[in-house]
Amino acid sequence: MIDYLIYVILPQVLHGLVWGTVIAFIALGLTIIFGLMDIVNFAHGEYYMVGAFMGYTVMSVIPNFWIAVPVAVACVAVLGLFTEFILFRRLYGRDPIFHLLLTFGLGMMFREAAQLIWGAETKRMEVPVTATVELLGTVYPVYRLLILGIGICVILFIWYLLRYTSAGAKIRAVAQDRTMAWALGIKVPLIYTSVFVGGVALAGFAGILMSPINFVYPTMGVDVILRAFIVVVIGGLGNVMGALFASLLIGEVEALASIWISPTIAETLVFVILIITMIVRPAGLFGKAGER
Amino acid sequence: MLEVKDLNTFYGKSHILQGVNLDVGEGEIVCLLGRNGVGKSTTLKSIMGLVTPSRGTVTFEGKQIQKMRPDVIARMRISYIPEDRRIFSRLSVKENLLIGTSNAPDMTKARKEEMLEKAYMYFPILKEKESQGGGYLSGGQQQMLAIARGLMCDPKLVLLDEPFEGLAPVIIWELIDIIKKLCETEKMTLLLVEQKAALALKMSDRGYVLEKGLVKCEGTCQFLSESEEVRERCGL
Repeated sequence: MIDYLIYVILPQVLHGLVWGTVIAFIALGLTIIFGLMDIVNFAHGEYYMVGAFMGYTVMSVIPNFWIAVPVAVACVAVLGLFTEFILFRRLYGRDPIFHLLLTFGLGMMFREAAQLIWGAETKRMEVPVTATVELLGTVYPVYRLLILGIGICVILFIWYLLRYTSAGAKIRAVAQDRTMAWALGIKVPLIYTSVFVGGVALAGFAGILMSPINFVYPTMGVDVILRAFIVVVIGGLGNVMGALFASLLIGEVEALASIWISPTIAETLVFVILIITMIVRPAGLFGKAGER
Repeated sequence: MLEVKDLNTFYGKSHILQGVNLDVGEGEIVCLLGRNGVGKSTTLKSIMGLVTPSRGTVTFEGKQIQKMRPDVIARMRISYIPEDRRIFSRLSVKENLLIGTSNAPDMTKARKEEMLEKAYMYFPILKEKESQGGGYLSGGQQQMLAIARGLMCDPKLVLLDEPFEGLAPVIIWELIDIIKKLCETEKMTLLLVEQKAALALKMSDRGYVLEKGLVKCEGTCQFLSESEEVRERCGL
């Protein structure tokens, strides 16, 4: 029994935590961008994909993962800056159908472009840290624990930024009442741009962190964005704490369920949770009815 | 200090302001009176850049501001305190106040603390509720917070829209006392929009009466309160 817990359950719990952290990276950006500018970004997963491919490209020139990470994140941030400035900026205050059309189309363009540039076949990156560590007798790769550690630090940083800094207070003020915030002298367009760039850079960061574990391929963003959307809905649209909690929940459910059932069926369990949430608490686990 | 000339503003197809002219001198308290829907609030919004006037000019300290963005206008130290208060209910009282310094980016931390202390001096109840969410305040306290937030940047001009709406008489009198004190000690310049003409005339130097998007009459408060026309138009 103890053996079963240590050798079967424990690694899966850790896998779930790592996967949950990565989903949280994507979902946080998605939900903060939605909470602030009311835009559901269907292209968000593609920034995750671009992050991974950028990392792959840098690695093929300079084979050092720790150089590739900041370069890839910076590239995604620049891409985010351009897309916000040229495209997303035109969406603010428009009908949601425009948001859907533009972001969905943009995502398709990114996927096709990635296929043209890097090819459709999946690529694998070397794991930068090959060491393993023994936890209560079970052997676990250090790199995954590293992702978990980085993830916790980044999430704590975002939480601190939003909660305790004046920039965070401004972001929350704009999210609640952009007109009033504007009239009080807050540069609303600047806040929009910075938050968008930060959100997609976070997705790019997750993309390169995951590329040594998962494969790198043009549609990798689609797989992750689906979960991120589910997480955002379960947690309550625009709700940061809800998104965090739901990410871990989804990560764990998927990881633990795949012990007993095939991973593909485990994936569908996620949808079951979504459906139950929609029936029992339509505003999300942490959403209040009538409030976004 | 502020000069509004031939201001025309549309909401869609409805012509709300049809050529408003008014001016506010430094240190003056000027009120804008009139019934519901004559364009009082729209005048303030047009000055603040929240709605773009289709014609006319707004001049502040010699600069034309009618085409500028609201944050740029706010950074000229113009404070807008809207009629529905619009405090940030999910931010704490203190955060709300500090957001009020957003239009004064050159303000030092020490100066912000000073302004915070001053706000607490005029509105002691806000000090008590400092760390509470803005949404937990009563209507009167929310109005106090909205006013205090608007004053945090040490504004040159304050646009105050219907501060007494929906408040109990006791609170109204308390607010009037505080605003009067503020105007005297802080040398505040104020453009006040108010439907309750009797109250507004008691605290102002001069006034304008708006009807159907136009200034119908103007003058000192004494003149306005004695004029039959005004009494009728404002329902005095």
